[in-house]
Amino acid sequence: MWTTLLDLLLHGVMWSMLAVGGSNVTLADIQHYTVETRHWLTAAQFVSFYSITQAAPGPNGMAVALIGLQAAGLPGALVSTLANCVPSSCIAFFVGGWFEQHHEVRWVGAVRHGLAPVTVGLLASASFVLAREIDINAMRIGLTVVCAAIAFRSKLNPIWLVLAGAMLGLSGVM
Amino acid sequence: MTALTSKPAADTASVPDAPTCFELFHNFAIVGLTGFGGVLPWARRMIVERRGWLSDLEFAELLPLAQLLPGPNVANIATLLGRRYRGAAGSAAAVFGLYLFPTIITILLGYAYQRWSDSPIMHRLLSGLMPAAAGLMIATVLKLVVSLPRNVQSLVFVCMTFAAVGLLTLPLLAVLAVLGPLATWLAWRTPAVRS
Repeated sequence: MWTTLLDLLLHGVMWSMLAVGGSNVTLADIQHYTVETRHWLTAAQFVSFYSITQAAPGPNGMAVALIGLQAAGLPGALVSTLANCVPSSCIAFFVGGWFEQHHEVRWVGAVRHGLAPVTVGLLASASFVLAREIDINAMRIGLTVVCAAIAFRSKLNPIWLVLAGAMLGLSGVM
Repeated sequence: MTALTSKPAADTASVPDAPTCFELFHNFAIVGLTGFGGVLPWARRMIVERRGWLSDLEFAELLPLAQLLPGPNVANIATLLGRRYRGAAGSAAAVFGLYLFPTIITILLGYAYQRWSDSPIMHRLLSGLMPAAAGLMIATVLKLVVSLPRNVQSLVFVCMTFAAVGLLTLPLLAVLAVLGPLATWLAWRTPAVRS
């Protein structure tokens, strides 16, 4: 129990601090560690947890709370949530305060431009990890493609796509 | 520290009354509670339109910094705004407010999942919810891809990162330790970036 909590804390802190470009960039690494290395949850549970948090309000990255809940109960959920938001906020507090006064510094632009393709590669990895587990039949592939196309081309709030997907699921056609 | 906080204080000149810690907590708590489908648009609406803490331009200037820093963009915005108005206590109040309701709701949903994970209704619900969630992630990737510069360098870094993390499942820390500095150094050498 205590070793699991410590493990959740240390890895949570690492994921929080590596999440350059948003929380979801670490999703593939989180899946690999929690599912394949630690066996805290199954691959099916992992994608379920991610999807459930998409239907709930709040910042990205809340899936770690559910992973913590699965691995070590309520303490696990709380430790994971704190590990998710506190370290990155501390970095924002100290580094961000300095950045706000030095945003003309050249290498800031270089870091932003340089990391942009790396962020895309990490989010593509996250997409791959999700789609590989989720899109196991033609109906599901179709729904993913349609949702991706609508979310890409329109400014519709994504919650409507999540709700539409849930309704389609409940109707039994998936 | 005094020197650092005095500059942000000057930025608040456009705001009649800098928000208190409780106001930061309260307003970000509402943003967290109502932030379905991504919190950022709701945070922008609260900060710019309802509270007038920042102008549209100020918000647009703050966003790239929040995106560059690790962690959820909206949590970084809460941290930076809280810091600007009330220092460390303001940051803590804003971030705590932002996470309070989402944490409670997510944990309750987690218990509901554990309770009903074997029921046919839960299976059906997830069978539609999951493909939609995967589609949203893919759409995020597509939106970012079109914003990248169209050059070989970008393509190479996207593919290398995807191969390393997505396909080979190499440790994220090691991959970023190599690709992060390399990508930054190459971007630094590109004249267009520096201007």
